[in-house]
Amino acid sequence: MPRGKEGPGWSEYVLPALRPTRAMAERELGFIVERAVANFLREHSPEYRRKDITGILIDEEPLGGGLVNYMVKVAFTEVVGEQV
Amino acid sequence: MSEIREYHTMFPDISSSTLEVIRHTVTERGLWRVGKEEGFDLIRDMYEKISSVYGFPTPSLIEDTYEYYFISGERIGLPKVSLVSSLHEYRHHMQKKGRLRFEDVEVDARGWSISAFHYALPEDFDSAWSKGRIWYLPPYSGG
Repeated sequence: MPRGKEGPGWSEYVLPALRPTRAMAERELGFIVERAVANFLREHSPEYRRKDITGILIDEEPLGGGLVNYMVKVAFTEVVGEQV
Repeated sequence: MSEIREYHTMFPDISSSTLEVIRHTVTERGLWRVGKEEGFDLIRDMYEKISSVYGFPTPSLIEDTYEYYFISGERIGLPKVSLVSSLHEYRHHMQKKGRLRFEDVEVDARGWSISAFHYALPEDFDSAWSKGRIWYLPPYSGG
């Protein structure tokens, strides 16, 4: 899986996929988010867990030929309570 | 590099109109007192008003498993009603429209959202910080 960049409290994952049809776009977005979360947990568990994910930023880059790269930043910190 | 910073003072110049929209949403309309469905409607309304301040299209908001911003779709997902989280994701929308002060988009979004809360509602901000209810801030130091 191509690795993206790193920053303070975030890790980026580059996820290649077929560009979804309009009808499938929402479902595809859900899959992409879950793939990014799975990558995050593989890298950062047990220090950080699913509850420590504070936000996800999803960008996409068309590759041609019906393919797209999703660049997904997963932000995290040690979450001990809900944010106001 | 640590993700813990003094985010609440990074944007001391947020427009007074934006701060007033935030104050109104919380104190007059009761963002923290209403149920989830009404809270989401209040956030949508807040997004519409802040967007009109900056002349941006309003992003859509849905309830979802994670907190996110989908850049090309201009869509925000939130799992629950949270002022700071909703402002954080809105800042990513502003970044798409060219508003970026700090090179790191996450640092920029944390700074803008936490500063907005701090300057709009300073007493509520202090109270929330002292209870550890704002992510990414250092331990409460008394304001």
